Amino acid sequence: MRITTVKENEYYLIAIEGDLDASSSIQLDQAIEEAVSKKETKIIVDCSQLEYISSAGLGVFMSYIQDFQANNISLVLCHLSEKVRNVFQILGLDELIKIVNTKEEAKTIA
Amino acid sequence: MVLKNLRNLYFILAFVSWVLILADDVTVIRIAQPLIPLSFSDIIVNVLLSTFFLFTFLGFKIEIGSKRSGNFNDLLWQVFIIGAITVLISLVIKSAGLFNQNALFLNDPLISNILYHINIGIITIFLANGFYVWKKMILYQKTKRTDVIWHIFEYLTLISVVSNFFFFDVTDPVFLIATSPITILGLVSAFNLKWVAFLTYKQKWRSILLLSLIIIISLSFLERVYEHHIVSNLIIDLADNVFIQAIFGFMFMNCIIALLVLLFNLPTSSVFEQKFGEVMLFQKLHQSLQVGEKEEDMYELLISSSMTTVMADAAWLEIRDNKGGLKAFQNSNIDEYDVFEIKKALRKNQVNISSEPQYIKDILSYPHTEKIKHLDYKSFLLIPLTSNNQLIGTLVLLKNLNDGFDKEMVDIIFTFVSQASISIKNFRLMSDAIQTERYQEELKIAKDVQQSLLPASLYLNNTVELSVYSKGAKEVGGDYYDVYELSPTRFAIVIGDVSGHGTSAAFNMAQMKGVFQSLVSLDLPVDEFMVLANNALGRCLEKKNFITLSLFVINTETQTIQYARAGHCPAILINSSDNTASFLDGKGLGLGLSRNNTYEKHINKYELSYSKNDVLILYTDGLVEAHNPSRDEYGYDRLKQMGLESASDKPRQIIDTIIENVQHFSGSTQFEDDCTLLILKFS
Repeated sequence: MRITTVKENEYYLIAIEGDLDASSSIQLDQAIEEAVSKKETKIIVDCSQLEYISSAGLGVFMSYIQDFQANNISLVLCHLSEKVRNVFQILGLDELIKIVNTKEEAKTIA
Repeated sequence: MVLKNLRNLYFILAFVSWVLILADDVTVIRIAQPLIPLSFSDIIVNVLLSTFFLFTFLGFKIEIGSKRSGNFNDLLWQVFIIGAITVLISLVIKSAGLFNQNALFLNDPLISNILYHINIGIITIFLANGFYVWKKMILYQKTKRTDVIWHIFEYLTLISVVSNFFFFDVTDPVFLIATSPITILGLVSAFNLKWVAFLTYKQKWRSILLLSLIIIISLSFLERVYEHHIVSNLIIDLADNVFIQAIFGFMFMNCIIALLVLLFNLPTSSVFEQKFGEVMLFQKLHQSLQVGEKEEDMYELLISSSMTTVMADAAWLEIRDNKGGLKAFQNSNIDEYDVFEIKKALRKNQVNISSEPQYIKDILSYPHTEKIKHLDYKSFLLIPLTSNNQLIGTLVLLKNLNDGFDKEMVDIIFTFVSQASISIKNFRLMSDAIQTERYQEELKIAKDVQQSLLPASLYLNNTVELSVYSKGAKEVGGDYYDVYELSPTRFAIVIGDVSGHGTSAAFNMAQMKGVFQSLVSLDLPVDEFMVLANNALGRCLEKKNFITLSLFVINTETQTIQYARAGHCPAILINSSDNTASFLDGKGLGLGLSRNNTYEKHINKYELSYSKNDVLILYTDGLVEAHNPSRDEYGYDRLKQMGLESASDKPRQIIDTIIENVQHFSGSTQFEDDCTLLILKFS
């Protein structure tokens, strides 16, 4: 798995490539941690290359949900494959995390 | 014990022979009327003399043979002491005669013969003892060849006792040629001086002293024998005895050879001792691993033994861990700050620690060394410690001399260091193995715990047929299912999946079971159950962990199912009348995902009714996420299809059909994740 982070204006973009499982979720955690430490408030996660997400990967997102709500940081996921989106939906996470189709959409609501 | 008795018997027989010879001599001289007829006398006396020699020698053969070899100084000391005592005795006897002021005393044939007999006894004891002590020394670290040569020599020598019966002229060339094989064998044996090498410098000096004294004692005996020989009114004259002469010659030769060899060995002795010390250090290095000493003790040993071996003035040792970080630092005769300065100077000169050893003849000839000039270290030896081509440390030895390390030393140190590297590697492998074993033991416990949390038997009532398939992954997973009888016609059935793997998953599953068992008995509406379960688990689960759960309350009387789905994969209900399948989905957030008081907004309860022969399929994501080599997942649709195809079968057969199909799809009988499948069939 590979994670790339890019700063676009006020948006902090995190792109995930490959499988997000127990071993690689640590990297994602570090990337989000870094964004928080840099006082980023608009974080967009590009999942277009994300092929698989395990419960550990989901755990990383959810561990930030409350912090983000309390600190007014918005986290938006975009470009989810149907499979990945299904995982979020079954778990009910689509109600807690903003999930949109495109990056442009993400920027408007972030 | 038997040997000891035999030895005593030999000594008694020897003594008796000696007394009988004496008695015979006395009677010959005093009474002129011998005990034995004269014609036989010569033969008898010679027989007695021979038995005396033989038994004395045999007695000492056992006596010395039972002694531990290795302590050569003690053996030589024994030869000397026996020699000294015998010299002392004969001196006392001699001086007794002198003080008597009687000229006749010495010239009296009786007295002189008795004195001579005592001398014979003493000399024989001295020679027998000496002979077997030499045997012990010659055969030290023997080979088969030396052993054979010695034994031939020994037996030939003992056989030569029969020479007593004949007269030989020892200067006769024919005699010399005839006996030359014995002489040659004796000479060959005499050059087996392996014991010399095992003496320390001090012991060598002591041996030289003892040997010199033994030679002097031997000479004094020889002198006494010939003194009497010249006076010559003796019945038995040792000076003519070939056996005694042979032994004498052998002893004398041995002493001289050993003395010379010892003398020539003295200058090289210190080198030899050093080499020997190195071997011992190797052994110590070896043992340090075997006795399970700590890795740190090994560093200490490596640095101290390397320093003594090359006589270095200072040294330091750096050990790196598997990731290359500094694990240990050990310095000797140099303080850490100086090490730091030296390393800086080395770096400036592009001397980096690589996998190749490096030798700096004179560091002060390099630039950038002003700061370490005052330290006065000139030659450096940098040796890397490697294991599997990975650098695990560096040993640096320093000397005040320029070009202070010669090739010999460097070779020894290399061997040392590679030995130490192996030891360090073994230490690490051992600790890794212990850690892995402990981890696996923990996993096994977790797996056992997890298994014990699942119900041992599943039975609702006779209107529901229920079968389960549950397969743990290689790792410990967190699939959970349970049933609870609310009343004879109402049952709660739950299926869930704890996120994560390993010990923590098993632990969280235990919490889930506790929460389920305590809440279910309250017989709450299913959505309220989920809210309370979320509250309870939200407080105790780790932030990143969550649990997906589906709860079904089945009423077999009204044929209804109430359910709530907290993020778990939706169950499938197959309607038998029209053979259609529907997913029991609907809104529901996983437990532990929302930990403020908003969870109730994310969960709903649903109710539906079923009819006879309907099938309810409950499962965990391990089943639908099973994938084939090209990473396509088995998925919900295939599961639904298989359910539909086998819905008319019994639950057990439905399970077999589905599992077989999944395994066929994934091309493996081994699930990557754990996988649980529950089939309920109503009747």
